[in-house]
Amino acid sequence: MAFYDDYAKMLYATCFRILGNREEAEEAMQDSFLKIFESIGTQYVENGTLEAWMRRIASHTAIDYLRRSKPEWDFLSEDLPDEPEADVDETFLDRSVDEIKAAMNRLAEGYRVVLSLYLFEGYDMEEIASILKIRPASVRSQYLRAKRKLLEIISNK
Amino acid sequence: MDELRNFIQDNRDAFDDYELPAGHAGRFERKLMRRGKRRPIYLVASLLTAACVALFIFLVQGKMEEQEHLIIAENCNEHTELMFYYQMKVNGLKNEMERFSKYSELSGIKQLMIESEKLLAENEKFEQETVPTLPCSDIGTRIISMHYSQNIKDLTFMMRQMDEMVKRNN
Repeated sequence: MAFYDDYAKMLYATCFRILGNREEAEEAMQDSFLKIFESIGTQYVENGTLEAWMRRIASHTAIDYLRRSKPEWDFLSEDLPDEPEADVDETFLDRSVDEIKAAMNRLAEGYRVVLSLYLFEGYDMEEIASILKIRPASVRSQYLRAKRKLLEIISNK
Repeated sequence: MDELRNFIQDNRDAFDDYELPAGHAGRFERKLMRRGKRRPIYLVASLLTAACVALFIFLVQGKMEEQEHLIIAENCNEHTELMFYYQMKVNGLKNEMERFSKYSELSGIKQLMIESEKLLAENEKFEQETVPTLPCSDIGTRIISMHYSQNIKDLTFMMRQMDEMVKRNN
């Protein structure tokens, strides 16, 4: 009980950012706990923190949910041209956390996953590419597009 | 420089602050039970709940039954003997568990030790607060047996996990 209570909020946040849906996020969060209970003795190794390991399980579980529930999701097209590196970052500085959270939730799945994994879960581009089975360059392009789309949503609010 | 990433890191707590759906803990408990693999963290709480429900039903039904069933068990010999038997088993597990204390710098072991301590604390609470209120009858005996059987199963599970973790780290 205490273990679940201590970490439910953290894992729920991870799942919700990826799935963008409360019910699915709860399901994924709880499935993550089941996986954690079953594998803490056999898979957890001491080269990182327990929290980071748990978050990784939650990220993978949420992505699996997304793949199952939306098999048609038009994730990252390998054909997309590289995104120019126009700087859009500073425009985020005068935005509130709630605005950015709400805008993230309105992004398409592919954008949301890349932003979540890169910005919140600590994965680098190569790791994300490996998880999503695409080229690192595509991840980078998609990340830049996602940021631009995020700004667009916030601006049009 | 990625200003968005910096902004998120600076406000990480606020970004992680999502309200959990109402009733999520109860649904998780049901999910555990549906799977038939009741895992350690929830077990004691759910068993105590079950014990309280069983006791409540017993007490309500007891009003219509013979008074001798309502003897409260503070001096119930059956309970004392049963608890002595189970406490010996729990103490055996506690002694075995102590050998893992030297590995407590490993955070996985540390967490399992913490959870085991919680199980033992819940056990103590059960002995001090719940057992004295149980009826000296079959149902009281059954509740005590259920509690300890599950508790011992959970502690054994924790020990097995610790053992595997230590082996992996050696």
